[in-house]
Amino acid sequence: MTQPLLRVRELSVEIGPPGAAIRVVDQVGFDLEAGRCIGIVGESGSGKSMTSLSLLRLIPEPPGRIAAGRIELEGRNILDLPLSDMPALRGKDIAMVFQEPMNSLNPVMTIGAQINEAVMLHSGQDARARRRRTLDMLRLVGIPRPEERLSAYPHEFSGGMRQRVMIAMALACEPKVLIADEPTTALDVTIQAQVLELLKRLRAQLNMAIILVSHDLGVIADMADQVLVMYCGRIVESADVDTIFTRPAHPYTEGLLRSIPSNGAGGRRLYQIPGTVPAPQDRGPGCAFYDRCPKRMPICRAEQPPLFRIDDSQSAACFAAVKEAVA
Amino acid sequence: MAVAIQAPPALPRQREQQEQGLLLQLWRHIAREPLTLIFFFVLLGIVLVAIFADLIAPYNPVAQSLLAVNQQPSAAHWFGTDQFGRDVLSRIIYGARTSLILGLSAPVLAAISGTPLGVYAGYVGGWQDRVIGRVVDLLLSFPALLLGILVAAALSAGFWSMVAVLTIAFAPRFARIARASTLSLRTAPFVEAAVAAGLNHPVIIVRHILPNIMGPIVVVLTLWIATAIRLEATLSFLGLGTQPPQPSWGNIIRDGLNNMFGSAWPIIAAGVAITITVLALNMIGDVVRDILDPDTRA
Amino acid sequence: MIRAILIRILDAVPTLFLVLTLVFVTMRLLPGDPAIAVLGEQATTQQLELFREKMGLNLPLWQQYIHFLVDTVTLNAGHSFVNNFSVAQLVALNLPYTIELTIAATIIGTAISIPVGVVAAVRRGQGADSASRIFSLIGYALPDFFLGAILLIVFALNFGWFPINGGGNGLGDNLWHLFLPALALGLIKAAFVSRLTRSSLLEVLGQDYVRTARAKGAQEPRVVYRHALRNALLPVTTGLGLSILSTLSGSVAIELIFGRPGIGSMLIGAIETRDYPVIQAGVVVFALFVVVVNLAMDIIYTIVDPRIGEV
Repeated sequence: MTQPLLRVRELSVEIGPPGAAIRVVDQVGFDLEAGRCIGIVGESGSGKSMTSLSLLRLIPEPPGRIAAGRIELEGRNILDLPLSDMPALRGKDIAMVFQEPMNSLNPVMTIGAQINEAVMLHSGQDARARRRRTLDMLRLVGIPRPEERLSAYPHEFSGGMRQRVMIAMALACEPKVLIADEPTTALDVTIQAQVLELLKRLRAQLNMAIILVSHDLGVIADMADQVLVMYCGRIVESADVDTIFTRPAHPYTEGLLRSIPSNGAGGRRLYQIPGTVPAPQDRGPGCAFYDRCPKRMPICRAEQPPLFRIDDSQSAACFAAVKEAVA
Repeated sequence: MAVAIQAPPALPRQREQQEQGLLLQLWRHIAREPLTLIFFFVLLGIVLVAIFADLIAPYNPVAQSLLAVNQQPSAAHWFGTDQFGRDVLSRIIYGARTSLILGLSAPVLAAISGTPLGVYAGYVGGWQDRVIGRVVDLLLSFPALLLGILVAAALSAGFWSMVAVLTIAFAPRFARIARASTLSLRTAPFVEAAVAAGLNHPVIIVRHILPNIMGPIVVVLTLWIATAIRLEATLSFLGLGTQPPQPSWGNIIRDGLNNMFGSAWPIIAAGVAITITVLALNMIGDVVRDILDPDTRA
Repeated sequence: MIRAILIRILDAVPTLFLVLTLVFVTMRLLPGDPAIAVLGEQATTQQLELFREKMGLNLPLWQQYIHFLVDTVTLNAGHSFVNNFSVAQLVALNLPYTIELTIAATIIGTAISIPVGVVAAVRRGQGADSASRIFSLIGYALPDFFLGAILLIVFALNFGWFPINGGGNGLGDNLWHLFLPALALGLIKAAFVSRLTRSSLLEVLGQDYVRTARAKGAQEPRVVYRHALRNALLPVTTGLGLSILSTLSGSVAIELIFGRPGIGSMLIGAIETRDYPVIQAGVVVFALFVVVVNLAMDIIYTIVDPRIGEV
């Protein structure tokens, strides 16, 4: 197995004043190899976006803070770097694409200028070379007649096109890792499919590692090789994509899968995981999923289940899952 | 047989109860931060000085003395004397009275005159609303000071014309607020119920609309007290307001300017007085606004 | 976009009419006999009648109104009662001084407030932010003429670095005379606009596209100046426009303090001497100024924001 491009260990992020801080990311860890795609699934508030932001150390420092952990990019822990070294890394080694392309692109700058800037920040190329690169990127993501669109503003594009522009901008410096945080959530289903196809094509072409963050299991199923399920800031299950969908171990994952509306189910009520996500201040010492879990046991209330390795391809933070596995 | 239909009770009763709690709330807010507390007492001090000016002022503010011209501050005259030998401190003290009276009365009068206009415009709508709205918008596009100067240019100077000038300067603002509030209230269910019950319009306006727009009106009022004081000072400085020898912080600075080479103390004392008063009013006004209408928090 | 601009210009015409009408009403219909106001209570009936004839006050009101409008458009403002100069000439003489004061104050004010606002936003919650807050609080409370007086006493009287009064002749002399008055007005303006810059910048810094800029690898200065500030300056521009008008009204007192020529001091002087035609001209000039500035700000805002331009 090749040396992982990205190694995250025990990453924890807190928000709030030092005494009363809330852990929004709790001991998250994973490996990512070049050319592979890892999908992070969870509801809003599960900590998945915070996790991806912390990989670029973009957590707003007050009130947030990376409390613990290591993020090793090609063996180097970027958390050890001074914050002033991060801009050199951002966009060059790790790049990120965000959810709302309308708000994520500067409304008073042409898209040509924005992509051009991305190239300029990390290379010493002259204006003509940068322009060529910008046009190449626009072509790469499938924007027709790029020469004409260089002087266009973001609001002149449709949602899907804007997302393509964002991707072009993110890839302009050939990053090793691309983080896509809910890249298709704000888009129509058909456009969604197009953007995902684009990402797949680029992954193959550039051998790029991708971290795909989404609450949409369908998107994850389409792209990811490995899946991390997050709940209340922790990873509750980690497995190959096939395993996740066929043999989920954690009750939360099971619940998520059951909630997917499916064809042929016609007439039956949609399944909902009973209860709601507990507020950070309401969580007890035990498993955060306890109140909603159909398989809960007394021990779940008293102790946080650690991430148990069930087999080579699957881990789950659940006492019940372990029990079933050994049975 | 005609049945007497009772109009639904107006909301003012609830508002009264709210208001008692409001004063207490206000005090608690002020007492919370040391800075606002200090300014509250400063303001209180200024008000007391203005009220009891006769008792506090060491000298007659208009008494001239050729012997004691342009004296530097001393035990006898804490801020010295001006070019007419008048005690600066006493003039500042009586000036507080002038400034506060005008500063308080102008917004109140402006509210009294501007609000009915705004309510009428908002309630009746139609072309009356458009015309009034156009005029009000136009007046509002003028800075209050400029409006004040322009109106004062037409009237002769003096205390009462100042009152008129300041009232005219501020009335449009109240008209605008009153109109906006009335517009939103006009379609409220309880107003429709009142109309359906057969109440005639003036009664509806007085019993139902007016009490409910009081909140925003009071907010605007507090906003403009500080400005009114500053405006009065400026207009008096320009010679358009309170005329000497009656002291006003503004005309003290004016006289002081003509006497620049003699003594700078009148200017400094009056200017500091204005600044502190306006500062204190701004701070307290902020607190009042935070309570009455959190949406306008800066 | 041209269409949007034209609409706004057209809309200003009825506003202009309304303004002139209001001025007319104020000057003619407010209580008090203008003849007495100008000539004083001691004037004889003969003198009063002569005055009324000369001023056309005996004509029916609507005729006076028409005359007034025509006079304004043809820039015929009569002659000063005091020195018989053509009022139009007086205005032409004084107007440049007021305009240069307003412009200089705006430049100084902007030059101070934008850096102050940026620093306050970027170093939010720290010492620099508190200092800027105190600066603003005092600026809100300090009367502009008081600040002018202090500057005058300290720098012109005591240190003698600047002239005590006058407007100056020639470019260099003008600038020398301009500095303290413009500084006084500019500092007060900065108190308000720096606050606006700060809050506008803070809001923009919280936007998604700022996060994107950082994610691209831009250094913080670039993020603030290239990305955030440009968007933050949009509301600041409107604020600046509003404050131009308050600077204009402040210029009246400042002209008085520094003994500068200008429309403000012309007007105040005319009020003191009851120079009726000059008073009227001064009022009209200020009123027109307000309408024009409002229109200009409207148009500028339309141009600056490419999104609004697409009406």
